[in-house]
Amino acid sequence: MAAAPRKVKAVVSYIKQFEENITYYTLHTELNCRFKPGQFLHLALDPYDASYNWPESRAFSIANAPNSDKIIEILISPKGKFTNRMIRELRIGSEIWIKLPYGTLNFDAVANKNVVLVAGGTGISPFLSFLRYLLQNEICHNEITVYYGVRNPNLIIFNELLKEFTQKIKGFTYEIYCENDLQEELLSIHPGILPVTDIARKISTKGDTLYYLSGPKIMIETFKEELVKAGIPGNQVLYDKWE
Amino acid sequence: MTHKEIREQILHLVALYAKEKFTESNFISGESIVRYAGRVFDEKELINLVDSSLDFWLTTGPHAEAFENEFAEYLGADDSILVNSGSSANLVAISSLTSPKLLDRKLRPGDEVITVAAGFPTTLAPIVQNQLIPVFIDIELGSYNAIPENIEKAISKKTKAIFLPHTLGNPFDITATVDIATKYKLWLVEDNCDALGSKFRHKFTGTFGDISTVSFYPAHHITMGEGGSIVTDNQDLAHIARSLRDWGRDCYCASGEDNTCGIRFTQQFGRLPIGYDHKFVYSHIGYNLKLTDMQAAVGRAQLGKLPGFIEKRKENFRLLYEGLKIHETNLILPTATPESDPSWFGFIITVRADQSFTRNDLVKFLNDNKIHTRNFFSGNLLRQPAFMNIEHRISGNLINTDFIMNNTFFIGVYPGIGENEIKYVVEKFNEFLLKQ
Repeated sequence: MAAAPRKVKAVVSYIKQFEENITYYTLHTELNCRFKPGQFLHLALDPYDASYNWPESRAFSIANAPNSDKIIEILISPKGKFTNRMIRELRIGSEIWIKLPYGTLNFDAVANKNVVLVAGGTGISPFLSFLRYLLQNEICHNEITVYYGVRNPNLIIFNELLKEFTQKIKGFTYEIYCENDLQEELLSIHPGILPVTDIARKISTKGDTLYYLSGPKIMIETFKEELVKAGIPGNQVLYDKWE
Repeated sequence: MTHKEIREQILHLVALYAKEKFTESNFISGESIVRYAGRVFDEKELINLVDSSLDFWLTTGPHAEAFENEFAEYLGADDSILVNSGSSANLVAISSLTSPKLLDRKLRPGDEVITVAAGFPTTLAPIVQNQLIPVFIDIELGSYNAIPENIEKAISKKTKAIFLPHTLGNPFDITATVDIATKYKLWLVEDNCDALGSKFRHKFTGTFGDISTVSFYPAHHITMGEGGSIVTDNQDLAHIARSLRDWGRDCYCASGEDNTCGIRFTQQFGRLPIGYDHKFVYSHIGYNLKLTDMQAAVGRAQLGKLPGFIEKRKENFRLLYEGLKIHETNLILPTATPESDPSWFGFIITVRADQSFTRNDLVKFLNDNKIHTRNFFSGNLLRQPAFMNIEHRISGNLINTDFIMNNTFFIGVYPGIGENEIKYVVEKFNEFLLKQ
């Protein structure tokens, strides 16, 4: 269950742009925002007037852990008119409106279970929120494995963070798959796309495990299918069921 | 003229009207009434009221949403859910704990809830309405709160929750009560209706338990006329409370919004077909307990004044205490719970045993002298016609509860009175008591 969404004004306080216009935004919100790791927000570029309906907006997963510093982080990959408008218009100091929290994907049930996180591209965001939450609260789990697929190494934009997770979160391991180039200083990476069948077969033997999927729809569908084929009960495979 | 210009003119006139109509006259001893409570407002409330009426939103809307955010922020809580009264807040809070969404932690008929009989009827009513069994414990004279030892002694295998008021603004011993709730895995519900602004260990009451309630009735710390709120940090309880308030619906999209969850047409609930519109899925047998946006607009103006109101209540309490402490041989004066900083609802007084006068003698004298008094709500609720035959259990005895029923009353400390009124009140107490 999610809390009732709150509409909050926010100011863009930090922007970092990567290849292919993938952009990371830090937003400073006017009020404290409640959310659980895994949840998403709606972001509107046009001003919200409470006397009228909410303006056009798009949904983005939250990439940081819940905090009391009024900070929200999101990662976007521009794909359509709205996200391209974000790239064009948002500058440090820009005012936007967000409403949150949304989404049923959360990590409420992970205690005492192994956790497998499969992410493609910017789909890593909800998992970053979860992992940063674990780090922040010094929470340990049995085993956490991340499978992360990207097109090229410059898009592994949280490599420092992945290193930190490895050092500080007990039982944390990761495998990164990269479609194009293998030049990366910090991390060891595998060539190619996420090998769905191999991974599904390997991870399905991990015992009491929850499997989280986040990324392109086709990736989620394929993994879901392979995990079910490998004998994983459907209720142990979790992902945001966005229509 | 444009509608904006007309609106500005209307609001300008409203401000003038408010100043002309509602400016209070000076206190005249013996002629003016010293009320036990009342609305304290100025042109800001009237402007907000008229301004929101000109939007003609009518139902719960942007002002309500803004109030919920501002109120939660003020208290340092995650969520506030506005309802149409403090009693509705109590009903929703207790009913929320019976939600099937809480799985094995939900309250079931026959489960026990520890509470007090010395309180307001709508603290008790939702326990009975939800087919739960109230377990009554006695209160302490002076603080008028339940004491932790009595709570722990009352726990049985059937006990699932504790629902206690912070009596007339005085916090109960929160640390000990939270410890007991944690130790026995009990829900803790704070009835904070009379204690808005009170603190315990520098933190607002209403933010310690799993869920709490607030009243915005005119006698309370701030008002919207009718109004109340549920406060919680628990996202699940917040979602359930909103559902119960809003007809029992599962969807949480605000009015005018659709499919914000992105799964409006893909889920399956109950025995409904897959993809049945989530906007019309009902997961609780709910109510419609929403208030109007105009009330919330008034509440926003009141909320801005709350810190000042709290200070004024504390100051009035202090002055009354100073003035009445010479009568402590006749009267039990109120005692703040250790480590608390109460935002007093009223100044509660008990006539000690074996006096030459009764509570009613004193109260009649005060009322004859235009000093309003109120009994400590319902006395012993188990002696009220509505509750005398309810299924219940008493842990220990209710000796003090019966004692306060016969000997206790309270007078006002609300921000509408000041030094002159209090000086007059003290004079009248002296006049009565020095004759005894």
